[in-house]
Order: sequence, then C-alpha cells, then structure tokens
Amino acid sequence: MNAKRLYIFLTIISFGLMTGRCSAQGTPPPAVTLDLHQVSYNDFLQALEKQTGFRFFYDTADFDTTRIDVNVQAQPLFSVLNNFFSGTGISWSADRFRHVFIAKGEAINTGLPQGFFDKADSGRLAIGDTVRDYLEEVGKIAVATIENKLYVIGDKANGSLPGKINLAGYTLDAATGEPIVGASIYVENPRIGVSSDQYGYYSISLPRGRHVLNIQSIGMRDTRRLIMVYGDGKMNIELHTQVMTLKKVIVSAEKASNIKGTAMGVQKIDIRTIKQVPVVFGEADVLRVVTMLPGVQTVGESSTGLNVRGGSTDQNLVLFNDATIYNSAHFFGFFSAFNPEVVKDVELFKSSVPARYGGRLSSVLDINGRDGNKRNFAGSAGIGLLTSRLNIEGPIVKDKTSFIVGGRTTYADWLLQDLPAQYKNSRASFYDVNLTISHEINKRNNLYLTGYLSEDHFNLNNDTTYAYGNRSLNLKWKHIFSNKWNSVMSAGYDRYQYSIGSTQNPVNAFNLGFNINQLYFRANFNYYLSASHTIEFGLNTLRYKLHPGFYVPVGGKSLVVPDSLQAEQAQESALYLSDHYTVTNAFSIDAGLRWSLFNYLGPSVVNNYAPGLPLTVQTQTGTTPYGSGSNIKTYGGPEYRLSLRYVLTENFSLKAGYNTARQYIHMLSNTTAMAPTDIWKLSDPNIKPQYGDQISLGAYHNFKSNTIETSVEVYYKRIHDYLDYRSGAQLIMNPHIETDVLETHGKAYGVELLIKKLTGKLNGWVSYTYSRILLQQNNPNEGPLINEGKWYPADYDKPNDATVVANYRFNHRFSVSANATYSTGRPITLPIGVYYYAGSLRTLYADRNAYRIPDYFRTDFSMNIEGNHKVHQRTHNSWTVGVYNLTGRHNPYSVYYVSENGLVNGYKLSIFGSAIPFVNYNIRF
Amino acid sequence: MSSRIRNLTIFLSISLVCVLLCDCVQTYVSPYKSPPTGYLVAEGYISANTPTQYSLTRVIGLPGDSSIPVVTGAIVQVEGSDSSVYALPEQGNGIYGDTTLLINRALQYRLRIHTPNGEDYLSDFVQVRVTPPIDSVNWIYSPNNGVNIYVNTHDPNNATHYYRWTYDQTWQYNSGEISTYIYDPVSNTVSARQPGQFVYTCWKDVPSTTVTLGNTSKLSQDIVYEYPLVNIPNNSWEISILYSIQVTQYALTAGGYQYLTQLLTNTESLGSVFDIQPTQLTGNIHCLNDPGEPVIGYISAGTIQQQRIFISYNQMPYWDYEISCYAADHLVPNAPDSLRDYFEYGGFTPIVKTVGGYTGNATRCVDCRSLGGSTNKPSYWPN
Repeated sequence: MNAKRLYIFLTIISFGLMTGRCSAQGTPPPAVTLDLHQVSYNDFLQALEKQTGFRFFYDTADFDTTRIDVNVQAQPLFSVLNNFFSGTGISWSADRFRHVFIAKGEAINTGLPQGFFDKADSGRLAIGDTVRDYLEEVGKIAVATIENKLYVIGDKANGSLPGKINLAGYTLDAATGEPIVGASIYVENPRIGVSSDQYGYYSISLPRGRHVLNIQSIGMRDTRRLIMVYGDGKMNIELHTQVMTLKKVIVSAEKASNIKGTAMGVQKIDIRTIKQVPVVFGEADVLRVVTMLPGVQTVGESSTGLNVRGGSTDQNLVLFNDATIYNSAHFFGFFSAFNPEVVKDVELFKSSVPARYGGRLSSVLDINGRDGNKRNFAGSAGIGLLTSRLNIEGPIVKDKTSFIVGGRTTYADWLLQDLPAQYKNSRASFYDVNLTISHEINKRNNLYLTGYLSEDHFNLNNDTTYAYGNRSLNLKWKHIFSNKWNSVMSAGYDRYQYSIGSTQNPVNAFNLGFNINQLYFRANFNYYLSASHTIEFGLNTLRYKLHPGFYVPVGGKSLVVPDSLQAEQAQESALYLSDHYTVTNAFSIDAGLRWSLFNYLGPSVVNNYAPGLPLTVQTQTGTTPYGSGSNIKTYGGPEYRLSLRYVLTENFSLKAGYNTARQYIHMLSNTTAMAPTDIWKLSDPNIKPQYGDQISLGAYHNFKSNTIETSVEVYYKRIHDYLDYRSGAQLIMNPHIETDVLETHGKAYGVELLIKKLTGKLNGWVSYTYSRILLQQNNPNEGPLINEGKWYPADYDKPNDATVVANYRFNHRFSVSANATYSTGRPITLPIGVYYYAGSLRTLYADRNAYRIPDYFRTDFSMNIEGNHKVHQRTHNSWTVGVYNLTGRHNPYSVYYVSENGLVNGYKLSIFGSAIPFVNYNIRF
Repeated sequence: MSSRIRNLTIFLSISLVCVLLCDCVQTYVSPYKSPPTGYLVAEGYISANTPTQYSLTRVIGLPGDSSIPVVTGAIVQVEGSDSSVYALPEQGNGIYGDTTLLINRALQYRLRIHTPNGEDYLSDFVQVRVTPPIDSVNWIYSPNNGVNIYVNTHDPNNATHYYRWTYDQTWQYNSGEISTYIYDPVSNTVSARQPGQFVYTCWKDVPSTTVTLGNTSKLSQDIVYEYPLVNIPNNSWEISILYSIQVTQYALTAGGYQYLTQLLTNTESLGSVFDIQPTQLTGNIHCLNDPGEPVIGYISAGTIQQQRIFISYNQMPYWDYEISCYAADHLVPNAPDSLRDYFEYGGFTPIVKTVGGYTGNATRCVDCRSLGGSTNKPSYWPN
C-alpha cells in the first residue's frame, strides 16, 4: 500500500482518465454474484476478495464516503470492476498473480516499461515512455458527464487548507462539442455563481470541500455535478440538449439570471426562439425578432434598421462574430443579413453596455455564430419562397478542429415580375456566405477564423443599378493563462461598400462608389481575482479608411468627369477596465471605465469656416492641407459604465445603471428607412463626435419558481451632437458635407415592461414600451433652426409599443406560434398647404414630423411541424406553415402626397397589404 | 424527396400570386386640418428675349380642391443692379407684365412686389443666364414603350450646366363619327352644320405639369444628350393624326436649380421605400415685413430658347388608336319632343339626317370637344 508513495512508471495509453486495464492472462477471472445495499467501497472490495480469491491493493483514502448498492449476478470480475469504477476517477489493473491494484487517477502499470532492465544502469527511460508524477495531474481535464458521480478536484492533501480554490473549464454540448455560451454555473450554499463566456469558458471560486455544482443553460437540460474540491482544477462540463417537452416540468429555483445579474437592458435570444417566431416569407429572421423586444423599434416593415431606446439606426454596433456590419439588410430590408442557420444566439445590450464595447451610442447587438460540429458531419437546408439556404458543418480533426460553412441566395426576381407594371423592370438579388473554422490547439489555446460576405444587387423601375455588400474576415485567439485568467485577442478586417451605376444614357453613364474599410485589433483579458471580484480589461484599436465617394465614367462615350472625394482615415482606440464586484450576496456592482481616443488623420484638406458662424459655403474661409499620417484632430474622453444590483428577496431585485458613450462615425441620411445609399462620415474638425449618456432603473420579479420573469425598466437618455440633415441636403458626392448637416441634441425617455416565460408548453413574452425621442436644434450659430428651435420628434418616435410573442408546444412534433404587435404611427412631415407652380398643384411643407401616420397593428401565426424524431435516420425534416399579417391590415409604411397630372393626391403606402401565407421546408442531415 | 419539393414550390407560387394582387397603395385623406397660411407664390421668369411675366397666387389648405386665389392690385417691378426699374403692369387674373424688357445681360436683376395688403416682397439679385439654343428635339419609337421624346443641347462655352425644360404638347384628333347636323336648344331644331361648326377634328393643348431639370456639372463638356422629356404610350391618342411638342429651355443658376430640385423631390418623387423626406423650401424672395414668412418661388433671369417638332401618325411603324366608342347610332324622330329628349342636355348629338329624323349618338363619340380639345386650329399647325 506504499505504492502511492513511489514514483510509478506509467504508460499513457489513453487520453481519458477513466481507464480500466487488465493485464491478467491465463485463467479467466471468476464470476461474481453480489447483492449489497449501501455499502462503502471498502466493504464492496472485501466482499469481492472473499468471492474471487483475488488480492486487492488500495488506499481507503482514495474513496470518498459514497455508499453504493451492488447487485450483480454471475458477472466476470473485470466487468464488475469496470462498471463500478468507470467515471469515478478510480482506475484498476490486475496482474497475473491475481493481484488487483486500485488507485486514484491512472491505472497502475503492472509491468515494467519495455527495455527497463537493459537501461537500468543508465537510469534512463526509452524515448516514448512517459514518466508521470502521480501527484501532479497536469494538462488533463476531467470531462464530467455524469450527474451522480463525485468528481474530485485537486490533491486531497491540501483539503484542510483554508481559503478558496478555483475551478474552471468549458461548458460543451455533449452532442457536438460546441461551447455553450452563457450557461449559468452555481452552487447553492454558499451562493456563488458565474456564467460561461462567449467561448463557453467558466471560472468559479469555491471554498474547499464538497459541492453540488448546478449548470443551466437555455435550451439545455439542467444538470448538476457532485464535486469534491481540494485545490485548483479544471473540469469541462458537457450538457445535453433539451429534447422538447417532458411530461413533468422540472422547476428550478435558479433560473434567475435576470434577478441576479447586474446588467440591465440586456436581452438574449437563442436561435431556437428566433425560429419559432413567424416572420414574413417564413424565413427565421434574427433582426426582426429583435425588433419585437421592448425598447427596439424600426421605422417600418421593410426596415431592419433598429432604433434602440430612441437611438438612431447608426447608433447600434452590430457585431456578427466580432465583425462590424454596417448594413444589416438584404432585399430592401425584407431580410436581415444573417443566415439563421449559422447563428447561435443574439444578445442586445441597450443600457448596460460592457466596457469592452464602444463606439456607438445606443446599443450593441452581438450576433454569435455557431461553431461547427466537432464530432460529426451535419448539415441543413431550407427552401423558402424567396430564398434557399444550406449549411454544412463537421470536424476537420475530430474534437479539435471544426468548420461550418453556410450560404444563402435568393431567386426572387420572379416575385418582382408579378408586381404592377411600374415595377416590372425591377430586379433584386442577394446572397451571403459564412465560414467559421474553430481549432483547439490545446486545452489552453483556441483559434477561430471567421469570414462573412454579403452582396445585394437591385434596380427599381429604371436602369440605375444599386449594389452593396459587407465583407469581413477575422482571426481570434483565446488563451487561458490559468484558471483565473484568460485572454481573447482578435484581429480582423471589415468592409462595407456600395455602388450605384447607370449606363442607359451613354453620355451620362456613370458609376458611383462608396466604401468603409476598417482594420482592427482587440485584446480582452478576464481575471477572476476572487469570488467577489472579476476584472476585465483590454484595449481596442481600429483603423478607418473611408472612401466617401468616387464618381467615374462608364464606357467610351461617357463625358462624366471622374471625381473623387478625398479619402478619410482615422484611428479609434480605447482602453478599458471593469470590475464585477460582489459586495455582499445581495449587492453587487459592475463598474467600468473606458477611455476612448479618436485621431482624424491625414492626408486631408480640411475646410475652414469662420468661427461662431453656421457652416455654409459662404462662411468657408479656406482650406488647410495636412500631410499623410499627420494627426489633424483628436477627440476622446472617458466613458463610464456602471450598474448596481440589489437583491431584495430570492426572486426580486432592483438595479440601476449609468452609461456614457462616444461615437465617432456617423451615418448621414435624409431618408426615413436606412437606405443602401446612406453615407457614413467620420468625425473631423468640422463634425464633432456624438456623445450620449443614459440613466436607467429597473425592478425584476420572478414568479412561479422563476419560470415567469417580469421586469420594469425606466430610462432617461441625452444625446449631444447628433447629426440631422439640413433642408435640401446634398449628401452624395458633397465635398463640404458639413454644410448640409446640423448638430442637434436629443432626449429620450421611456418605460419598458416585460413578462417573459421561456419554458413550458406555453412560452413567449409580452412587452409594452412607452418611449419618446425628441430632438432640438435651437442654436442659430449652428445653422437654420429646425421647427423654430422647438423640440421635435425623431422619425422613429413611436410612443406606445406593445408586443406579444407566444408559442405553444402541443407535443414534440407540433407547435404553434403567434405574435401581435401594436405601435403608434411614426411621425411624418405632412403638407400644410397647396400651391400652384410649374404647371401643377404642389404641396408645401413646413415643420418636420409634426404629424403621424396611422397606427400599426399586425398579427402573425405559424405552425411548426417536425418530422419524426428517430435519431438514426438520414434526414430530419420540418415544415413551417404560417400567415404573416393574419388580419390583412393595410399597415401604412408611409403617407405621402404627390403631384400627378397637375393635381395633388395623397396616398398611403403599405408594404404588405394583405395576409401573406408562407411555407418553409427544412431538412437537416 | 425531390418531387415533394417540386410540388411545394408550385404550391407556393400559387399562394404568392394571391398576395401580390393586393392593393398596397391606397388613397389617403389626412385627418389633420392644415393651418391657414395664404403665403405668396410668385412664378415667372425675367426674360431677356421674350415678354417677362409673373403670376402671383397664394397657398391654400389641404387637400387643395378649392380654387387657387390670385393676387390682384399688386405693384410688381423688375429692378436692375443699375437702379433701372421696369414695371410689370397687371393683366388680370394675377398675371403681371406683357412686354419684353430691355435686360442688360451684364447686370443683375431682382423682383419687387407690393400687395394691396401692404406686404412688401423683394428678391435677391440674380444673374442673367444666357441659354444656349436647343440642338434638337428627337424621338424614338419602340413597340414596348411607345414614343419617347428627348431633348439635346450643348453649350460650347461650358458655362450653362443647369437646365430646365418646359414643354407644350398639342395634338390633333378626331371624334368617332362626323356630325354634319347641329342641334339648337333655343329653337329646338336640328340644322346642317356651317363651316366653323364642325366638331370632328380638335386640337388638345397640354402644358407640362412636371419639373424637368438637367445638370451637366459633372460632365467634361456641357452636353445634354437625349434627355427624356415625354413618353407617349403605344397606341395612345396623342399620335392618332398629328402631334406637336414645343420645348422651352431655360438656363438656371445653381441656386435656382437646387430650389427646383427640392421642389421636385418634395412634390413629385415621393412614394418609394427609401423616400427622401420632404423639407422646407427656401427661395430667393423674401417678405420684408416678416422675414420668417415663407414665400414660394425662385426668381431667375435669362434668355430662353424654344423648339417645336411634329410627329405624324404616318411616321409610326404600327400605331393602332381607336376611340373607345362602341354605341350604335340611334334614330331620333324629327319631332319636337324627341329632339328635346335626346339633345337638350348635350349628352347626345345629331349626326346625319335620315329617313324619319336624324341619327344621333353620345356626344363623346361625336363631338371632339368633349375630350378636352378645341376646334380652333393653332396658327402653327401645318395641315
């Protein structure tokens, strides 16, 4: 029994910990028949000794106090041992002398390494043999898959030391090996909880001793692990997908991240929920579901531009696998640019924006793509009315490297052919492609390569063709220094471009182009200082290069003079530090500071204007040239991110937050909907960065054992130097664009109510929002006043907004979904009068946004029918059948007056003027 | 599996057609009451080579179905930067001015208006723009699009850049049947038409109702090539006999061009998904009493150029216009009661004398004037 005190030579034959090896040869081992109840391992092994005549060598300290039931009938000894010790971390081996060695960790090698005697004089081992220090379990991580087994972490010798230890590892999907993001990992007593990060990594500090580790994640079966922790260690946890509804509902007391998290105004939706929500044309749409969340609005049905808590569409940082997406719309906004087959989940931060994000005022929309299946090849395909999509995923190296590639394309021209005659010559098409390769270098290092490409082409009733696209590529390296500290570094390139061209008239044939390029590097570090402090810090830096416009002739006959606005370049950098500080179990603070810095760089010729006067062509005093790389203008300053949480009772908490942000890139638009021709402009000496702050308060209460979450959040927000356009602004190919925009300020406030139930047969949410967003331009030194300097509502000011999203699962294969949305009509500028000019009656406009279009109301319905659930069949298929806009209401998208044949006619334009049935067929293979 | 998918797509196509028959654009009547404004609207052109005329009207409330009030009794004058003053005498109906002014192309001019209400309006000084001649007005026939009419011009000095065109379309057309008899409601009798009373052939005159602008500032040469002005749909009545268009070309200043572009955006090009929002128009004429009061109109000065072309039915490879009049002729007995019954209210018109009375038919089939034209042949009409 002193074997444990020696160095033992072990040959590693398998990577797993649970190894049972039998070296015994010759006489077959005897059969065992035992029926024991609640005995210790000691008793169990003694009973085996008696029955088999084998000698057992073991250390009772290796066994915990677990009592086991043994009931075996005439089974071979070795299989009995295998059954009882597999997964316990205890190994056994036997030699030909009928000795059984039982030890913690790896099996004792009952033979000597090959060539042992030959080299005994040198005391060396043959290359390829491994010498293992039994006491130091390094480099290997337990994969805990079983709920009722005790996993021992660390060396028992340290078990009596005071203080806490750290346990870290990944939460993984047992079926695919993909990481599970946002799984909550906690122990009940003392109440300690963490959640896994975007790579599935978690790190938790626990007192030494025995714990029940509970693990929960949306869409995964709740599970727990029994652990005995003596020292720091690693443990990966595999979770199983929740397979539809169960007969009984397991109610957990801990589905309470909304109560316990400090973050406010954060909404996360996984793709499963997204896919349940009926949308037009039946294709799951990430952004459209986001617009059903409280506090998120769009100007109209064919707009995927989000207005979050009174923010404009350019004030959202839309990240798709870390890449910034400047235009998230396809096909006039009917589709979002994200292929639902490769999206894992979507997280929207509308109030508490983590310090690692910056550069936009209103919100961060983080869309996470899936990692490929690391174990098996799999794929899916969807056929819709207008689009089809396909994705394939699988291992490149099993359990180490995987890929997922997804593509989507449209064949919608035929739809336009069926439109009324004035649209007959329209064409539209798009496609997008996604690729993610994830590679595990080793347990401490992971690499991710993601690429994204989207392209849209269309023309509307004329020969002018429009094209736009996003493309991005990035490489991310996740490194774990230790259990307590890890880092993520990423570097990448994003581009957004559009072009407009016309060749109908050979003399005027032109092509107009615009693009944004950004090259970035981000480094983020997480340090789990202690159970009460989690520190995050890092730096971001981003190099912009914009080509704000180039206008070139097409064809030999074109007289178009090539014209090009000077390129703009800038560096946007930020350093940040934040601390998640758990003051007491009830009170915790998230405090972050982000220092952002923006340098507008040469080469550039900057327009100068007379100080104190509005920027106009008349007040321009000259220009100043700057050389390449020179720093023309620096902006910057601190951004504060603070949120507080106080838990009053088990299921009731209060939170408060204060956030500030700076934005250095602006979208200039005079269209209501986000158009593919919108210009983006960097801050420069004449255009200040936008600055905003927001204070918010919230109360969160869960009912029915946390299955129903309710919340009330109120906010007040200020926006400074927001750019609105001047009347008659010329935004395209304008070398002095600062004279066509105005710096306004805004205020937004509102209250958001949400009731959410994400489990059970009936699930979904109900939300109501009251919100206002008002802008003002009352500084005559800035330029012409808008609406005489009074507050006016922004285009997307829709005070009342109510949404119901519901899904009812009848059984595993059939569920129905319905949603209903109501909102106040958006503001619109209506004519105040009519006059006669140039041969026609014409309308006269005055104040902006003084009126509203009629209110919006829509209900949708869909049925999701799954094929049979036999696991071993070649393909799984499912159908979605539904109706969009069930009531067929003509929801106005806009109201406009137009002069036709000399008269003024008013019209109401609806994007969808009737109920739209749709069918979608999906195959998984 | 594949056959199932095929069936599926067929089904979907059917379901979608139903969708697209929907009426997505509906008439809108604003529930809001527009405020009374009565702002002044001044429209005209200070012309250096044709009579200068200005019309003064006022803005009315939505929906704009009442008549446009004209401003009478105002004093309107053109002032030169050399302090010269030209009065534009009132012509009635809100029109001021009738003569060609002695405009010095080197000077700048402005417009001053004094209304009987005591309001004074004054425009900024504007340059006199010299408009280059129209090179050609041409047209192209295609079986799909009918006839498209284009204008071509150029400025050898590369100085014009901003163009505006207005046009007058005139076409000759016939009614469905030739009436040789006329009803006189006073005497309740029918008699043979005298020369000048025939209503078989008419001329319809339609001034342009849209703002047509051209911009060559981004071109290396000041050339306007095939700028589309008018589309005449295939087989329409405009070219049933002879069609004529007179194009008038104006050179604009950059400011005038911008003003009209905005006016065009606000009033003619709305209704798409990516609409530019309508904005306040700011012209170059201001109210002196209240500088905040909007005044509609942009004062421009310059020469104008005109060109007229004709397009004949004979020039069309295939043009199938038929007046949509399928009613058969009626026999109207030559009795006072019958004549009064049929002809008194003008809905019916006699055609020829026949046994027992007159044949008659609906006036729109017989009297070309019922389609909006006039039987007065324009002086420039060739045939």
